[in-house]
Amino acid sequence: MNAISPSLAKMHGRKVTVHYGPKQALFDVDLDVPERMVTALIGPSGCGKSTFLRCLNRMNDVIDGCKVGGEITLDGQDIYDQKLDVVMLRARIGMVFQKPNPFPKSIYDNVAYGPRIHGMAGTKGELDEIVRSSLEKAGLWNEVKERLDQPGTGLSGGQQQRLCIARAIAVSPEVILMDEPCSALDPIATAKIEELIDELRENFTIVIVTHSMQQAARVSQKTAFFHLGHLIEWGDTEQIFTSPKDERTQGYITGRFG
Amino acid sequence: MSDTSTQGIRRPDLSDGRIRRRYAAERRFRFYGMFAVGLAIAMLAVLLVSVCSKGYSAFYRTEIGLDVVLDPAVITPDGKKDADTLANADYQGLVKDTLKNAFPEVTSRADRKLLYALVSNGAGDTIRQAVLSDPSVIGSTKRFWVVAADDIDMLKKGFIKRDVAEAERVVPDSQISWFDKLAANNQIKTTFNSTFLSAGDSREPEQAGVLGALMGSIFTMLVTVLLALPLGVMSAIYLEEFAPKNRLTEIIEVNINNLAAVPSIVFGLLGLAVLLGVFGLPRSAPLVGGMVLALMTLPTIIIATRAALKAVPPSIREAAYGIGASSLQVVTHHVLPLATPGIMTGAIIGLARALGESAPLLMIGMVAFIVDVPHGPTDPATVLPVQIYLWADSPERAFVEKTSAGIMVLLAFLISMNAIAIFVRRRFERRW
Amino acid sequence: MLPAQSARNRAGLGLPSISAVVFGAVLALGALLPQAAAAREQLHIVGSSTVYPFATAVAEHFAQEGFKAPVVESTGTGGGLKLFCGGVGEGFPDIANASRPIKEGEVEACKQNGVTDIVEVEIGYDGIVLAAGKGGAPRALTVRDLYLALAKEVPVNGVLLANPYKLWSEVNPGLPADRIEVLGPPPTSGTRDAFLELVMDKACHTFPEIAALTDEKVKKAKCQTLREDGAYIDAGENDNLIVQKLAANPVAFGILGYSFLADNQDMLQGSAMDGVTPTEDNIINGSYEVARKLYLYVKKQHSDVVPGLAEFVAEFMSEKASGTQGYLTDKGMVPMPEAEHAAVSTAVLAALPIASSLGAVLDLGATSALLPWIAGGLLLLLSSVGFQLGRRRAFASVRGATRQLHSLPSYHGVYVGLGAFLPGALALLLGAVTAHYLPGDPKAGHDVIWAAIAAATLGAAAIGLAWAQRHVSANFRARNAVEKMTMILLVVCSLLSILTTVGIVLSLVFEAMRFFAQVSPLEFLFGLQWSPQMAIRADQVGQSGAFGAIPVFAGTILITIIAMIVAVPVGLMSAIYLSDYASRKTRAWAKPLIEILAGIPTVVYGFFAALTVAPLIRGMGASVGLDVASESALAAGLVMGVMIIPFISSLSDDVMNAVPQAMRDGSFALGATKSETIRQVVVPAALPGIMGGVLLAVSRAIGETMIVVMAAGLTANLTANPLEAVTTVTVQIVTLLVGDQEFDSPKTLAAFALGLALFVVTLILNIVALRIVKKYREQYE
Ligand SMILES: Nc1ncnc2c1ncn2[C@@H]1O[C@H](COP(=O)(O)OP(=O)(O)OP(=O)(O)O)[C@@H](O)[C@H]1O
Ligand SMILES: [Mg+2]
Repeated sequence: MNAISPSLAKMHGRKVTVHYGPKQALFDVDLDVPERMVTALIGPSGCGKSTFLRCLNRMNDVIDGCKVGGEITLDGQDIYDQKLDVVMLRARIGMVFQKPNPFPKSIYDNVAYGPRIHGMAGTKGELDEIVRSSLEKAGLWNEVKERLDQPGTGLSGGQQQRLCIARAIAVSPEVILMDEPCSALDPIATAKIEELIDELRENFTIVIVTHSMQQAARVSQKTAFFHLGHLIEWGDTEQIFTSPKDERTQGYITGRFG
Repeated sequence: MSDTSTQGIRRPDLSDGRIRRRYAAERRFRFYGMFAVGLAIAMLAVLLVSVCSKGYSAFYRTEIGLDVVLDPAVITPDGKKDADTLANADYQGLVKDTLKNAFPEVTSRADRKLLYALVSNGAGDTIRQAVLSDPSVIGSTKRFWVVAADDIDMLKKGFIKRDVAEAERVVPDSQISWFDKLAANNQIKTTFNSTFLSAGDSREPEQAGVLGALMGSIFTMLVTVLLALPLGVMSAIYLEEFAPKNRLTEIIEVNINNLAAVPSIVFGLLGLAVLLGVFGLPRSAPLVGGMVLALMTLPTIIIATRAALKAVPPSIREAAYGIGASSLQVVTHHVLPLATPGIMTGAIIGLARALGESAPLLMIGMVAFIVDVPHGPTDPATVLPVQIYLWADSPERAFVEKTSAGIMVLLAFLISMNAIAIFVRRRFERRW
Repeated sequence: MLPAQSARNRAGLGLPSISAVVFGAVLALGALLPQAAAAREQLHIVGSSTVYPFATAVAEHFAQEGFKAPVVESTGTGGGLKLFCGGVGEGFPDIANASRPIKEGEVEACKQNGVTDIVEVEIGYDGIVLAAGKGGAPRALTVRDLYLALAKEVPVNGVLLANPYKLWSEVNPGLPADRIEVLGPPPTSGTRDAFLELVMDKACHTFPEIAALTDEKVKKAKCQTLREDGAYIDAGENDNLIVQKLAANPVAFGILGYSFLADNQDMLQGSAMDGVTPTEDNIINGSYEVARKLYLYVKKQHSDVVPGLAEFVAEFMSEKASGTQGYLTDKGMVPMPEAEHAAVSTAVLAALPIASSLGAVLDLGATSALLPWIAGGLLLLLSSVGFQLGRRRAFASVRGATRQLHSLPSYHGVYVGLGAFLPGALALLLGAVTAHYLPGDPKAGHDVIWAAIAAATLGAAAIGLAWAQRHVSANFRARNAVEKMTMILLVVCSLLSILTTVGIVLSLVFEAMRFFAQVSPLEFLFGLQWSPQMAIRADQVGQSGAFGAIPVFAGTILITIIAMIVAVPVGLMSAIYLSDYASRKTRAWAKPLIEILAGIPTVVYGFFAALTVAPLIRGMGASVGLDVASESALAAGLVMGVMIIPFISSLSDDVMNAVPQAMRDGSFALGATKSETIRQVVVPAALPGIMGGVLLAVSRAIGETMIVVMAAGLTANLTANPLEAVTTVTVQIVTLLVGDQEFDSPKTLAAFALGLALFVVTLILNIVALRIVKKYREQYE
C-alpha cells in the first residue's frame, strides 16, 4: 500500500449533492479519487454509490429531473463547468454498468464503437488491433475470437459484462468507473476481472462500486463508505477494514464478515 | 495477460477540431429532427388554417326579420286548432305574403319569384315551431327571424361579390336592392347557425347540417373500434407471443402486411359481396360500414401491436415466468401493459384512417344523400368524409364553406377520439 | 403444481376481459341482425352522379310531404344499374338514376335476376358546356374546332394523321395562339360519352376524309377517340375541382355540367358553340344542342315492397319539380319543353299509378323488435349468473380456503360463465341467420320465430351452465380450461385475417376471370399501354394494347416512391427528435399533433394537392423553364408523403422509446454524442420496428385512393418523370367502378383484374420485404 498525498488525486468531489426531483440522494459528499489507484465505494443498497459514480462522468445529465450540486474536478478542472464538454469528459472517464448493456451489434462492432466515434484508428488494421487487445485485456478474446461478427447480445451474462469492460477500455480512458462489474459473474470470471483491474491500475484510475467486502479489500487501495446518501468514512482500504473510525462503518463491515 | 502495456496506449482523438466537427454534426442532426417535426407541424398548420379560414363562416348565418301576420285564415282555414292542422299549414305562404307586402312595388311574376327567393324555403319552419309551441299567437303579428336563402347568405358574407357585372352574379341587382333595404331597416342579422350542428343533409345549403353524418360516423366508429381493437390486439398477441414459428404463421404475417396495402375500395367490394350478399345485411348501414372499416383497420393495429409487443424486453417475460405465471398471465399482466402505448398508437393511426375513409363505403351504399339523422347502427347513414366529399361535389357556392366546416367537425371528432387513446398511451408510457 | 402467486393477488383477468368485449360485440351484432332485416321504410335510389343532385332535391321535397326521406346513393350509372338489376326485394334498390339509356345487356341481366318490370322515365336534360376561366378573352368555338383540337387522328391535307395541333390558332386561325388544354371527364363517364356523340361525332362527319371511310366501325373509332398526348386531360368526376382549376388557368377549357357554369358565373365563362351561347334559355329551346337526356329506371315490382314508389316518381315528374319553372331548374337541370314534359308525365303516371289505399308500413311491434335484444340481454345475465355461481361454488368447495383451489375462484366463475355464454350465443347467432333465410314473408310470424330463438338461446345457455357448474371443484384446473378457450379465441382472431384475404380474393377473382376471358392475361400483365377509352364502344372491345397494366403500376410505384422520399426522412427524423431530443412536454403535444396528419380525410389532401400544391409546382417549374403537367405525380406524391408521416414517425417513436435507456447510457459513457448514439445504437436497435412502420407506410401509399383520385391524372403514362401526370391502380379501380359504362363491359371488369394484380404484386413485395427484415433480425437479435 503506497500512500499517496491528496494533491495527486485525479478527481476531487467537494460538497457534492444530488437531487432526483424533490428527493435528495447525496448530501455534501467530499471525496478524492487518487490517480492510478483503485477506489472502492461500499455501503448498503440505495445509499447513493451509483449516484455518486454517475456524477463523476456526468451520466446523471441523462436523467430527467436530476440536479447535481457542489463541485467535482478532474485534473483540477470543474467537470460541471458550462464550458467543459461532456463528450470529451466521458471519453476520458469510461464507465461499466451494473447490468451488462451490449449494443445490438456484433461483438466486434461493440468494441470498435468507441474507437470509431473518437477517431482512434486510422486503418482497419489499427482498429482490429484495438479490438483484439481490448478483448484480450478483458479476458474475453479466447472465447469470442472465432465469432466476432455475431451479435453481442448472444453472449452469456458474464461474457456480456466483460464485453462491456472491453468496450470501455478500448477508448483508453483515464478513469474507469465500474458499477458492481462482477455482480453477474462466476468466481473465475470475477477473479479475471479483479486481475484485470489490478493491471489496469498501472495506467488507469479506477473507481469501483462493490457489495463484496472481499473484493473491495482485494482490489482497492482506497475505500469510501456511504450511508443514506452521506459519505461516512473514507481512507486507505486497510485502515477502513481494520480500524474504521465510525461505528456505522464498523457495523456494516462486521455485519458482512460476521 | 500481462504484456498489454507493451505498446503505447492509444488515446481518443480529443483535438479541438475533431470535437468541434462532432458537435457540428450533433447540432445538424438535432436541427434535422427539429426541422422534421417543424415541417410536419407546419404542414398540419397550413392544412388546418386553410380549412378553418374557409369553414368558420358556416357556423353563422344570415337571418331576415319579418313581421309576419299569423292570419288564422291561412293557418286554421277550417277553424280547428288540432296539432295536425297546425303542423301542415302553409307557413311558407305566410312568409311570402309578408315579403310581398313589404315590397308592394314588386309585381311581376318573375320578380316575385326572386323576392321570395330571399328567404330559405325552410323559412316557414321557424313560424311553424312558434305556432306549435304556442297556438295562442295565431291572429297576432310577430317578428320572426327566418333563415335567408343561401345566395343571400353568401352575399352577406361577401363570397358573392357585388362589384361584378350582374350577368355574372347569381344574385341579381334587384335582390341586392331588396336586401339592402331590409338591412337598412335592421331586418338583417347574423346569428349562430344552429341548423348546421343539428340537422341532417339537405340540398339547400342553408338547411344542410352535419349531425346526420356525425352520428353516422359515431355509430360506424363504434362498430369499428369494438371489432378492430380487440380482434387486432388478440391476433397480434397470438402471432407474437404464442404462435409457433412455422410456415402457417409466416403466411399469416405476410398476409397481414399485404392486407395493409389492399386499396380501401377493395374492402368495400368484400363488404358488398360478403356482408350484404351472403349475410344479407342492409345497405347504407353504419353496422356494415363499421365492419368493413374494421377489416381495413385490422392490419394497422396488428402490425403496431406486434411491434409494441416485440419491444418489450424478454427479461420481463422471463421474470414473470420465473414466478410461475402461466403464459397467458405473463402476457396479460406484464407484457400487455407495457405494450399499451404502442397498441394505442396503432389504434390512433388506424382508426384515424378509418374515420377519414370514404372509398370503401361507396360500395356498401354509404355514399348517399340521407336527410334523416340516424338513431342506431342499422339506420341508413353516411359518414363525415363522405358528406364532405358530396358537398365538395355540389355546384352551390354555399357548400364550399359547409365543406370546410364539415372538415372542422371531422377533425374535432378525430381529436376527441385520439384524446382518449393518447390519455391511455400517456398513462402507460415508460422507458426502461 | 405451483400456484401462481402474482396471479392470485390480482383480481383482473386482462385477456378474458378483452374476450368478454369481443363476445359482447359479437352478441350485439347478432342481436342487430334481425333489426337490420326489418322492413325497409324508405325508398332506395342509386345511380348516376349527374342525376344525384336532382334526385336528392326531389327526395327532400318528397320527405316534406310526409314520406320517409328516400336514400339516394351516388354510385355511377353502371354501378347503380348493377345493384338495381341484382334482384327483387328489400335488399335491392327501387330506382336507378342514369345519365344514359339502359343497355340491352343490362336489361338481360335484370331479367335473369327476376327484375322484369322496369319503367323508364325521362326527367330532363343535362347541358354539357365548354367553359373557361374568367381570366382570358371569350373564345367562341365550333364543333369542328373541338374535333380538330381533340381527336386522336385528324384529317390533314386529305389524310388521317396523329393530331399534330398544339395551339388553338393552328386549328382555327381565328382563335388565339393558346395551348390546347381541355379538362374533361374520364372514359368511364357518361358525360364524356355524350360529348363524343354530340360534338366529336357530329363534327367528324363534316370532313370528307372521314365520310370517305366505308367501314362504319373504323369511322366510329376515328370520330370518337380522343387524343392522349396531354391536350385532353381526364379530370375526374369532381366538377368543382375542374372549376377551381379553370379559374387558376385561363388558357384551359373544361367540359362541365351546365349547373356548375350557372353557379360559378363569376369565375367561369361559357364558350359559345357554333355561335350559340350556353344559357338556360338556349338549352331549353334546343338551340344549344350539346345536352343529353337523363333517366330514372323504376322497379315496378317494388310498388308493394316499399311505400311511396309511385308517389315519388309522380313528385319527380310534377310541374313544380321537373317542369320548366320547377325547382329542379334551380338545381341546374335543364327541363324538357312543356309539351314533352306533359306527355312524359302522363305516360309515367299511367305506368305507375298511385295506389289509392297505401299499404301501411308493416310496423314490427315493439315487443317484436325488442325480442332479439331481450334474448341477448338474458344471455348476458345468465352468463354473469354463471360467473357468480362458479365463483361461489369454488369458494364453497374448499370452505373459503382458497389456497386449496388449483385455480382462483374467478377463473371458475369465468369458466362457468363461458359455459353458459358460448352455447347460448351460438344458438342466438344460428337462430338469427336461419330466421333471415327462412323462406316466405319475413314479417309474418316474426314474433313467433324470435320467441323460439330466445327460448332456444336460454335453453342452450342453461344447459351449458349446468354442465360447466358440475366441473367446479378444488382440483379442477379452471384456469387451464379458461386459458385454453382464450387461446382458441386468439387463434380464431388471427385466422380472421386469412378469412379476409380469402374473401377479398374471392370477391375479385370471379369478375377478374370474366375480364381475362375477354382480354388476354399476357396483354394485361405486360402491355405497355393502358387506355380503357378505346374500349368504350361495344364494337371496339379489346382493341389491342388498351389494357396493358404496366403503366398503371409504374405510376403507382412512382407516386409511392415520391411519397416515401418525403415521409421516411421526415417521419424518421421526427421520431428521433421526439423520442430522444424533445422534452417530455414537447413530445406530449407534438406527437398527437403529428398524428392528426394521418386522420385528416384524404379528400382534404386531395383538394390540397390539386388546388394548392400542383399549381405551385407548376408555377415553379414554369419559372425555371420546366414543363410541368397540371396533375403531376410530384404533387400527389408530396401530399401523400405528408399524410403518411405519422405512420413512420409514431411507430418509430414508439419503438425507439422502447430501446432500453441502458443501451443509451452505454454509448454515452463511451463519450458518444447524442446523435452518434442515436444513429449507431438506438436506430439499429429499433430497426425491425422502424421497418415495420415503413412497410406499413408503403402499403398505405400504395392503397391510398382519394388523394390520387383528385390530384393524380387518369391518363396512364409510362414515365419515370415526376413532373408528368401518371395514374395509379387505385385511381383506375375507383373510376372504373363508379363510371357510367355498362357494368359487364371489360372496362368495369378491369377494375377487378387490377385489384387482383395489385394484391399479387404487393404480396410479392411483402414476401421479399419480410425476408430482408428477417435476415436482418437474425443477425442482430
Ligand atoms: N433515476 C432516479 N430517479 C429517482 N431516484 C433515484 C434514481 N436513481 C436512484 N434514485 C434514488 O437515489 C438513491 C440512491 O440510489 P443509488 O442507485 O445511488 O443507490 P446504490 O447505492 O447504487 O444502491 P445499490 O447498491 O442497490 O446499487 C436511492 O434511494 C434511489 O431510490
Ligand atoms: Mg447501484
